[in-house]
Amino acid sequence: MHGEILTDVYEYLYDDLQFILKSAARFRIIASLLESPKTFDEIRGDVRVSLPALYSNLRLLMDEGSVRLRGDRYSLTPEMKLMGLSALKLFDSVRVINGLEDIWLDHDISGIPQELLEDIDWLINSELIVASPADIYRPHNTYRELIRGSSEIYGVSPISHRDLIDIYEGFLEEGVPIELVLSDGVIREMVLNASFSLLRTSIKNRNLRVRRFEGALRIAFTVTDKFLSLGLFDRNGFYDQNRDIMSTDARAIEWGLRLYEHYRERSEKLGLRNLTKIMLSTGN
Amino acid sequence: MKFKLLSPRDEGDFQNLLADIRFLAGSRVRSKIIFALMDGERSISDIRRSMMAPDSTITHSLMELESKKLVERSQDSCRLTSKGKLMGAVLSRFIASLDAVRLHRDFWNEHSIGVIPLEFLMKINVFRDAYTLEASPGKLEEPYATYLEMLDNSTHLRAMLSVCLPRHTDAIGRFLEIGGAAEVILTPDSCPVFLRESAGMNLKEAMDSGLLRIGILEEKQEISYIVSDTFFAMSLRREGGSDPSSTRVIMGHGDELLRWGNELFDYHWSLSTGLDSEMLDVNVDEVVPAEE
Repeated sequence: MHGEILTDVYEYLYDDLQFILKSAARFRIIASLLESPKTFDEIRGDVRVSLPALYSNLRLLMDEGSVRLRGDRYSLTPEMKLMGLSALKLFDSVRVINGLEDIWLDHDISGIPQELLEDIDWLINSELIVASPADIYRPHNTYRELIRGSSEIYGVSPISHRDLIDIYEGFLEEGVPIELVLSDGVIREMVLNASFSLLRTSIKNRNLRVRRFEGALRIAFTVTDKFLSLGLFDRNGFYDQNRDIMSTDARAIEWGLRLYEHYRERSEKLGLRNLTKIMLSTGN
Repeated sequence: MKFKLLSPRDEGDFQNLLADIRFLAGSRVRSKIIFALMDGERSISDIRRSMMAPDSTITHSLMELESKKLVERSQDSCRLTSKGKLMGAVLSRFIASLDAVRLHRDFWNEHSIGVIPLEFLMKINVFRDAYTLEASPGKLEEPYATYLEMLDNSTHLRAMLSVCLPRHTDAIGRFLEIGGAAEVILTPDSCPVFLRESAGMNLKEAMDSGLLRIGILEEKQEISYIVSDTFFAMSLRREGGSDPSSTRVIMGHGDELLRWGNELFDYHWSLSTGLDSEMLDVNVDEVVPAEE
């Protein structure tokens, strides 16, 4: 939504927003009932607010038509269930934004499309792996550790690293399929540094699929069936190899696969012939 | 899908999150500044002009947003930081979701939404541009006539039929005749009807040619929907009783809604068992799993 439309919709929904977010006790009751219909005592056990606060908020929710009482069980109306789920998503999103604040603050997130920014809560079980003076290779070593045992690998990279090529060569030798979206510079580095016969065999066997992204890539990430690793550029345009978001959570991996699909759709397949051309042009 | 519900132990965390959310969503001026900057950098004088608030309030709000590292200023312009962009994105998603709920509140409240998996309910914002059609006593066929007409412009049809009426099989038959490809998920209720009503259709030939795929779910469902290349239409069981002829249908054409419908179909398809065309010669009772 564009800013102006958002402003209008926000104004229109202002009362609903305040109703959901104004009272912590009320939100806790809604969150508790999102699980299932509950008795008064069950809700009380969940939300641990004072008895008067529980009574008054339940009464208010019923008066507003957001909660129904059937028998001795309270349940959310479908409308409030949907609103509650959306609010819970917002809470999880803010939890991710705050929890990984170190990487969002001074880094460029323009490489993440809007729909995935909106689903940032999918990274809820992720960790920011940061290099420290005592362990400057921590992100890199964690990457090596987590990628082990992957049976399919997808990556987007505007940066080249000799060690990364070694890791990928190891997987290719084991027959693990790899698909990479790379910028021109990285493709050149790869064909210069990797074993060309392995590249040729892997491409012929369709184990390695290289795709070319025309333009500037503002993000680097790897997603496999085991984990997600995501790195960003800092505000000065340099890739920050000291910070990586990593996760082995299924939802984060799904998020990473969606991100990969975004780049895959915007890249073109590169065959052996074109790779050879790039290698030859580099040699000149 | 599991929720990370807020346990009493998370009280401090919860209060901080709520405070952060209220900081933006609870303030008209602060949230409007964020929305205005979501379209890109703007001059401070431009923001002042577009807001119906005193200059001092805007200046103060900008300072607050700056202190929370959501906005950064340089000379006379301001822009969102990456954190500000993220907060704007998740807040706008929340607002879009509430909007989709509000716009169709009667539809949601009259129907049982529990049959839709939670991860799909959490993307309810896709219904912002949808609309509802009601089969009232005077115009029982209207929703169906509308989407059957839309099928003429489609090449691919995916239908989850928890109830099957002759008009459904007729429509699918016509669709296949004009060269469309269809995937259909049937339930213990709809499968026998579908197979009986499609007697005039050469199902086996359509299936063998790959134009028709049928999946069967073992359990009864309370949701029916169609997703094609151009539209999505869904009906749910009415709360407190079922009357297929009076169902209200929610439909739309947006890309996000079509993706949502296709993903929902993929989800149901993954739970179904594919029907082999050879099975068509077998007695219907043997095809449809017997209920306990």
